[in-house]
Amino acid sequence: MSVDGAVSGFITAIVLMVITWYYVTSARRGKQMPEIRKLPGLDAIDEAIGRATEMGRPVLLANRTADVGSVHSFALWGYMGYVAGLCAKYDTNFINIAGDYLAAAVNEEVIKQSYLEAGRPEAFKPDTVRYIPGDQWAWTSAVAGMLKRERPATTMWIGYFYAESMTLSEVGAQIGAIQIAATTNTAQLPFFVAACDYTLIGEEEYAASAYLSKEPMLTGTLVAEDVGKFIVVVVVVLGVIAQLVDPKANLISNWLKF
Amino acid sequence: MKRQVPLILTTAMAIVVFLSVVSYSLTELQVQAKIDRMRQFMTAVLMFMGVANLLRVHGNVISKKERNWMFSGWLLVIMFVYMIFGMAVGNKNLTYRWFYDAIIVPVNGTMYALVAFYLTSASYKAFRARTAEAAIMMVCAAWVMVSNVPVGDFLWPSTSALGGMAGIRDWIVSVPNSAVSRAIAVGIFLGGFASNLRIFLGLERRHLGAG
Amino acid sequence: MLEKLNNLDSRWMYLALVIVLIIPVIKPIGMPVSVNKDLTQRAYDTIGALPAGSIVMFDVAYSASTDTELTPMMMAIMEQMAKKGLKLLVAGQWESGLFFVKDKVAAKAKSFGWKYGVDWVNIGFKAGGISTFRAMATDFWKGAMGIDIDKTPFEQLPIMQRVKKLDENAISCIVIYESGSPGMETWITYFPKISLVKASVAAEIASSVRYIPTGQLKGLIPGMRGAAEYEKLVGKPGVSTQLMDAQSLSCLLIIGLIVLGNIAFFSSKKKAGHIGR
Repeated sequence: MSVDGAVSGFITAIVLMVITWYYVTSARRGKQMPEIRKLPGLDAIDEAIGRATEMGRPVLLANRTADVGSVHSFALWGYMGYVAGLCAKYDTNFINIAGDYLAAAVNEEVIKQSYLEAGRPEAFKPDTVRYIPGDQWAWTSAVAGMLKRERPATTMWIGYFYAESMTLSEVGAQIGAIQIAATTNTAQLPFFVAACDYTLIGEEEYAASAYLSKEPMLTGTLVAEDVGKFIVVVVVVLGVIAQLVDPKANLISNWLKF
Repeated sequence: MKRQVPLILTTAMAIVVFLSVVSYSLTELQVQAKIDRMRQFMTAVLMFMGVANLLRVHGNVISKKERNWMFSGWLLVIMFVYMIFGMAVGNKNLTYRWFYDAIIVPVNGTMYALVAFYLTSASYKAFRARTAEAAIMMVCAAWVMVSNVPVGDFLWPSTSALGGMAGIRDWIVSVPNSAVSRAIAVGIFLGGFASNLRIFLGLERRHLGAG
Repeated sequence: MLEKLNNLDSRWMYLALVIVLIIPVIKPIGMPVSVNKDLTQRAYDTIGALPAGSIVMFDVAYSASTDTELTPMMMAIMEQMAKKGLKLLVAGQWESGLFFVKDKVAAKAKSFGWKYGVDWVNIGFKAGGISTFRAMATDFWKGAMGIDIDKTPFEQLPIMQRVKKLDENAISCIVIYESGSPGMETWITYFPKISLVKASVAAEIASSVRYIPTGQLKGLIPGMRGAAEYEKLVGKPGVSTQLMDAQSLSCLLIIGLIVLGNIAFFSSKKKAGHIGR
C-alpha cells in the first residue's frame, strides 16, 4: 500500500531534523540564539499568580486529555514546573487536575521537584494533584463544580481540549478568574478567545518550556521551527507560481505527492 | 540511571515507530499496531491504579467526614457496583447497556447542550467593539450566525446578488478563514514536530524529576 | 441602568434562551431551509452519483454528547442509500460511538428491509487505531480480526466477500461522522483515493472547510443545519428540521444580546467621557 506524500514527507522530516540538530548544537557551543518574541499569555503568568497570592485564592492548572505519551503533556509540564515554582515561592495554593492517572502521577513528581527547587518541599499538599477520570463531561462537571466551590483566582487550560473548553472557560469567567488558555485544537480556539483573558494559539502552546526556562538549547529548537516555517512559505510561493505557469506539470505539487 | 533509562527508551521507541511508519516491511509486520496494543494493555492496567487512587482519596474524605463526604461515598458505591456488575455480566448484557443508554447518554447530551447557554453569556461579554479588530470579529460572527439559519435566507436570499447572506458567509468561511486555518495548521505541525524532537533528543527532562 | 446592562446577570440570558428554544418546539414556525451548494449539496451529489450496489463505509467517530447532531445525518444518508440501492459497512474509530449507534442503525436498516450480511454489516470497533486501518488496506479480514461486531465470522457474511482490501475498488465512499479526533485525517492521509464525505459538528466546520477546494473532502455536512438540509434533500424532514426553528430564534437572541451589550458599552463609554470633561 503506497501512501501519498510518504517519500517527500520523509525527506521533509529529515531536513527539519538536520536544521534542528544544527541549531541545538550551535546553542550547546554557546552561540547566541535570537530572542523569542513576546507572548502576552506567558508574560501574564507572573501577574496572574501574584493576583492569586494577594487574593488568597488558589491557582488552577488543568488538562483532561494529555496522557504521558502525548506532546501536550510535555508542553504542560513546561508550564507546570514554572507555575508550581512560583506558587511555592509565594506560598500560593496550587491545584492541578489531570484526566489520566499516569499523567497525574508524573504531574505530582514535576510539582514536587519544582517545590524542592524553590526550597519549599514541605509546602506540597496531598490534594495538590487531583485525578478525575477523563470522561469528557464527567470530568468537565467535576472541574466546573470545583471552580464554583474553590474559586481559584487564576485558571490555566493547557492542552488539547474539546467541546468542554466553552464550559470551563465560561465558568472560570463567571467566578472572576484570570484565565490563560493554550490549545492546538483550532475548533476550540474561538471559545477560549471569547472567554479567556489570554489565549496561546497553535504552536505557542509548545513554546512555553523554551520561553519560560530561557534555555538556549530549547530556544534553538524554536529557531529551527521558524526556519522550517520559512521553508514552507518558500515552497508555497513556488508552488503557486508553478501552478499558475503550468497547472498540469506542477513540479512542486508532484514532488509533494511523491 | 533514573533519568538515563527513560531517555534511552524514549529515543529507541521513537526510532522504531518512525521506521515502522516509513518502512514498508515494518508496516507489513504491523509493528505500530503491536506497540499500540501494548499501550492499550498498560492503559487498562493503569485504570485499576486510577480506581485505587480514587478509593484512597475518597476513602480519606469519608473516614475524616470532611465536607460533602456523602458524595465521595456515593461515587465509590457507583464505581464499584457498575464495575463489578459489568465484569460479572459482560458489556453486551441488556441491563448493563441500559445503565449506559439511560444515564450516561442523556447526561452527556445535557452537558453538551449546556455549551449553548455558556456560549450565549460568553458572546454577550466578548463581542464588544472595543477595537477595530474586535468590531470586525463581531460583525463576521454575527453574519455567519444569521446566515446559517433560515432567517438569513429570508433577509437576503441566496438567489439574489452576491449569493445573499449565504454567499458572503461562504466567502468568509472559505477564503480568509481557510487561509488562517491552514497557516495555523502548518504552525501546529512544525511546533509539534519541534516538541517531539526535543523529547527524542532528551532535551525535555522536566518529567524525570530530580537530578 | 447602564451598569446593570453592562454586567447583566447570565441567568437572565439563560432564561431567555430557554424560552426561545421551547417556543418553536411547542409551536413550530416552519421556516424554510435552503441547501448549501458548496457543502451539503456536494455531499448529497457524491453519494447520489454512486452506482447501485456500491459499498459505502460509515466511520462512527463520535460519542453520546453529539448524538443529536450527527445521528440525524446518518439516518438521512441511509435514506438516500436505500433509494439508490447502495450497501453499507459500518466501522468506527471510536468505540463509544459504535456502542450506542449499533441499535439505531440496525432498526433503520430493518425498516428498509435490508438483510444483515447481504445489504449491510457492522464490523464494530477494532483496537489499534490508525495502524489497524492501515493493516486493513492490504488485508481487510486480517486487520479487522475476521469478525463483525457480534463476532460473526466474515465467511458467513456475503457482503464481506467483496471487501478483501480497504481500497477504492471495495469501498466507493467513506462517510465519517466526526466530533473530534481521531477523525478524517486518517482517511485523508492514508486513503486519499477513496471519496470522503464528512458529517461534522458545527464547531469543526471552520477547520474542515479548507479540505473542500483541495478535493480531499468531497462534501461536508455542517452541523444540525446540514442535517436539516440533508433531510430536505432526501425528502424526509426529521428531528433536525424541527429543531431549525429553535436554532434560528436562539441565533437571533444571541445577536440581540450582542447588540444590547454594545449599546451598553458605548453608552457607558460616552457617559464616562462626559464625566471626564
